Amino acid sequence: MVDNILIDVLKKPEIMEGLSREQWNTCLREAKMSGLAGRLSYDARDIGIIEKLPAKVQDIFSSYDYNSASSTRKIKWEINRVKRALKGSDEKVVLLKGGAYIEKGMSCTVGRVSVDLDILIARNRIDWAEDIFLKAGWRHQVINDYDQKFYREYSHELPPLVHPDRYISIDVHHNILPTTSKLCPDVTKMIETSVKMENGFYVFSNEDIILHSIVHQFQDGEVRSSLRNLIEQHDMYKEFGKDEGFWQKLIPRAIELGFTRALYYSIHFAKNIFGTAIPDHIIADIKPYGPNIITGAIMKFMVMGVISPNLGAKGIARWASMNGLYIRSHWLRMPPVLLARHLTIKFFRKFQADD
Amino acid sequence: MNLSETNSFIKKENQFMPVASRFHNENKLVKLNDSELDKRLSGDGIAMEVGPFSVNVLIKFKNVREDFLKIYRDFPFYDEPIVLDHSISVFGRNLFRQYLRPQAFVETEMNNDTIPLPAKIGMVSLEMGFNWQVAMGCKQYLMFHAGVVARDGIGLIMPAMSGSGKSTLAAGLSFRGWQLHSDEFGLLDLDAGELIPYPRAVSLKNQSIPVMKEWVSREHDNYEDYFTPAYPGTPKGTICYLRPPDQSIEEMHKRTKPNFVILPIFDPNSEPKIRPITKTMAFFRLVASSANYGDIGERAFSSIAKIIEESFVCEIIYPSLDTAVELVEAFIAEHSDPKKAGQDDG
Amino acid sequence: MAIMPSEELINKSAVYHVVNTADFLWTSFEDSNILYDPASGHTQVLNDFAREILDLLEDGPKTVSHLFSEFEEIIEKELDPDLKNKIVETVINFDNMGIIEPV
Repeated sequence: MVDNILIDVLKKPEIMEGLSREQWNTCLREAKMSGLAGRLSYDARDIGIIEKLPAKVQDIFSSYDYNSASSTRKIKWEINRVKRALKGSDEKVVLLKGGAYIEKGMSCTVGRVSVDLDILIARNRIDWAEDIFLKAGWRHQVINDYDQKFYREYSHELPPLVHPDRYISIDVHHNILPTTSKLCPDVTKMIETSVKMENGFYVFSNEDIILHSIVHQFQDGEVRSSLRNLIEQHDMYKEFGKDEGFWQKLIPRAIELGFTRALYYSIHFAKNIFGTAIPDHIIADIKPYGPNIITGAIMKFMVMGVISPNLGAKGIARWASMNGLYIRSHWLRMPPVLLARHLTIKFFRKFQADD
Repeated sequence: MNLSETNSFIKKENQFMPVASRFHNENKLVKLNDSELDKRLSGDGIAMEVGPFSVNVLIKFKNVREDFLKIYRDFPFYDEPIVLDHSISVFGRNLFRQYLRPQAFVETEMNNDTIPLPAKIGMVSLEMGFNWQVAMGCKQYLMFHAGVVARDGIGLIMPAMSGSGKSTLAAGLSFRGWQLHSDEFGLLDLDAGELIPYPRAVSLKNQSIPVMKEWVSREHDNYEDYFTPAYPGTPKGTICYLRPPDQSIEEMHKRTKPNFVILPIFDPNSEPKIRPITKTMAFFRLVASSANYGDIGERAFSSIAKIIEESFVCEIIYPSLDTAVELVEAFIAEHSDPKKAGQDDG
Repeated sequence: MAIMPSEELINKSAVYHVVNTADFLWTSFEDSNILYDPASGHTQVLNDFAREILDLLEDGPKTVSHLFSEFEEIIEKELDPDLKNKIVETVINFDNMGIIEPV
């Protein structure tokens, strides 16, 4: 269990009513740095306690409300513009992440800020899509030849495209992970089971949506999003979990796509941090896919570091978490035994230096 | 001074403070002497009020504390915990950067990536940090990149890019009887349609420094007290900060509806001129000057439409601060209906 | 500048409609009409000519040819090529800004 006021408030928003001024400052600071201030505002309104909070808190919350509303509008409009550009074609285009959540009206979008739009297209249609976007006014953000080559050969997406009228970037993917990554799945399976929405775009099945979010967090080195992603998954377990079919499909699908280790972590942290209601049989069935003890312990420490950031001038935990999760993402590309030793020595040496 | 004495001191000197703002009558504001402020600034920090915002300030460099106090010593400080809009800390990231080659790192808690500056000019880092926090973190008030001043029911917005002289003009007007709202960030309350004062250190660059020193010296013999040292070598050249007039600090919660929009154009070789502009032009200039217009959306559009509907607008071209002030006063006088000004009393 | 809308206009069979009329915010000064579209967040100024074209499209979805004929009815004479070009240009701009869309 983690002793952290932000997590407590996320789990039980009603405690906001009784927070002291110092607690508010800690809570707001951590919420700001985790990108969750808008979420707290939404929760306070949702349970009807907003008017009971200090006037200053209401004022700060209204700023974050404008922020998240603006972000949602920008993503919705970018989706609209992509639709306009692709008009006349019946190519399957899948919305990913924030765009998908907004399109589906998912509960995890409340108070959330997304900065760009991610879409997925079959690999052999990438050039066609790029051509259409460029004709419709989008421009490459990355223009030097070396970077362009890097994106096309090693990455799983085109270099970002930006339309000068709007300055939101669209990332056109042909897979959800870099092709060089060990975890890179057979994405055609995910496209096959995707669901068509009213506006003609597709979104992944529920299991694939959550698995994508999970593998994205535990694969990439994004540190600041971590608590935000964990709660996003908590929301998804809650929302998707109302359908028994979801629980039945989840682990088999993770096995099929090769995401079982990441799913293990997600379930483990959701349960331990947020007390997410996950059926016992799921917890039992995922257990064999967990990590060995040493890796697990370090991983747990690092994630705890992220969730309880020490924001003082010298943040040991903060350093550790920032570097820890980043290093973690490279583990998956290098032999684990070698890295574990290298990591431990370097990690503890730095630990001592900061003391 | 014990606490009850300081409170009555506050009541007498700062008559607007307990009444005008809904945030402040809950908390105890105090007036502290320099040595007490210095102690708190260097310790855990101390919370101060700047217009509608409460910010905790912590400064680990003595010279920066001195410069800070020169500007802010008469601002309202809190003696008790309060809910903060922001927290800002200025310190050296390690022993080397703190003591041997002092370099001021600013933590704004808002993901800023500014380059640390030598601690000697740490005040610049601090002010840039304040700017960042407001520019990024304030979406609940419509924000204009503008000089804003007010007087007797008149609210004047002067939107402009850097180099237009708007900071100098706003400061100049404020030392001639106008209330300084801000030399850089105009704020508007979306509900009441009122301008919200946000008086901070006025930032003067290069040539404006001697101009303002001369300007302030005409009214105040002790004019040097109003200025920090000049800080050379910043990315924008030499910067110097000017403290707002005492009255503007005291009146920082007095709000006014905007009814004049003047676009200032500084041209040292020009003939002073008041030029008419269309309201459409003024509308778009206000929109273009607003960093959070896009985030606020509909309410921002409606608010700016209302401001322009209810305002007199023009452009002024001026070669000097003296002529600028004359032109502003002339335009205001031409369009001020003494009866209307009374009704608009904000 | 997008190529797609004008390609459609070449065959003049695209039917345009105004999607978000109900949500538009308007203000006006002098002879300008200023529009805010909450869906896109764009703020733009229309002169009376452009406003008239948008009005006609708000009345009901139509092709550019329909626009031409309705315009001719209002001004009670035939449109010269220059004016027709201006109408087409305006429609392209509206499409680019997302105020109108082909059905």
